[in-house]
Amino acid sequence: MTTFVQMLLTALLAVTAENILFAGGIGFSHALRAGRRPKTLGLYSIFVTVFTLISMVSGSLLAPLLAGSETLTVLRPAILALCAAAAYIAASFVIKTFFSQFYRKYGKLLSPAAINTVVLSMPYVLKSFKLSLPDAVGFALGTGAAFFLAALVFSRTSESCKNADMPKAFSGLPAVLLYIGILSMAFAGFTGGKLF
Amino acid sequence: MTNKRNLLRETGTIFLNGVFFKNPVLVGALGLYPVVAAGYNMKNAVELSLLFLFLSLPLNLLFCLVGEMMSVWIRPGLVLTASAVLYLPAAWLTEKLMPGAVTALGMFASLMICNSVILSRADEYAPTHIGWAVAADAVGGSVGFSLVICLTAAIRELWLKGSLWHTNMGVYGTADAGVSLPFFGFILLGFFAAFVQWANEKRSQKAEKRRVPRI
Repeated sequence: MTTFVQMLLTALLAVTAENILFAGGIGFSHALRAGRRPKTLGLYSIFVTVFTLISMVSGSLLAPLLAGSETLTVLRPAILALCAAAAYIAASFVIKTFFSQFYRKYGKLLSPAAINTVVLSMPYVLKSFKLSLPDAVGFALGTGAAFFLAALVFSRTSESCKNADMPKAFSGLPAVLLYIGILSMAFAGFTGGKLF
Repeated sequence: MTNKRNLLRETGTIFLNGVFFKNPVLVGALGLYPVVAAGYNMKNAVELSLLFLFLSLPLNLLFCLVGEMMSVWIRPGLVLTASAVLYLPAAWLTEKLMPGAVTALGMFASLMICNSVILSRADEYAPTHIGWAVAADAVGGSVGFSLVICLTAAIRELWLKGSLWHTNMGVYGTADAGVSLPFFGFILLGFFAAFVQWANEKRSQKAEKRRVPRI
């Protein structure tokens, strides 16, 4: 029970004070793109959550092995990225082979959801925050929820950021970036400084 | 001769698009993380720019050669695999040019492996274009990324410490530490993106005027 509560609290932390998207600036390229397709936003976020969880757990399992040798420490970023690539290829293969109809409809979401900075940053988050395995799982789930909330916010942003009353030069992406900046400022207030 | 001139002109256009008119960061909203999170001093900015170039150019050329030989579904995974492998020589080269750079950058350097500018170009652009175009695009994109991160870093460092690359510029840094946080990077990027949008608008207006009306 205590472990479960601890996991939930870490998940809450990942959505609020230690939100790697708003307070860390990670993964906005993908969150913006996910927000542009509101119909698939939920599924995209579920994929991100699953791959984030895989990345976190593999990072946690590999951590003692990678810390044991100096050569492996140098190779660490490459090894972690190879794990993420393997997770994507395996997941795509399984879905393509056994759920071909689902793959035809939603297969395009898999690669951006599996290969992004949110997913690959998990082992580094694990190391920086010194998370235990239950905490790490909670953090990964919370990050998935944070991604969903960010993409949900951006799904409404594009219309309001093309307001005819604003200067033409700021319409669209520039306004979105300023909007993200202001939202991130609020999260910086929660975090109280740099996340990493 | 005409073909060669056309090729040169088109290569130049692709390069300039990457640098400014279709800048991957300011127009494509790609690769935002290193700019907003690590681009708060010039040293970081130059180190990440070098790493970007050393990773982007070989990866794009590799996928220009072999990209079309593989299925579309597996390509993103193989691009990431190749990026992970090519990161090692790229990091080594950056470390040789600027000793201690990669170690000091830590997570910022490691996450360049999955930089969305690099991966999207290698996955979507490189396999369907000729070598010259891919090289021009990779170098143009690298210069474009470097310009954005260096400009962002210069403003933040000057504002925060009154210095550039730890050299005092004779001005007094007045800003709070918040300048080095990601939110300030986003706000700066918003203004830069507005400038590029304004320049593109002016450019298209000029092109419209130059067009002779058909009678």
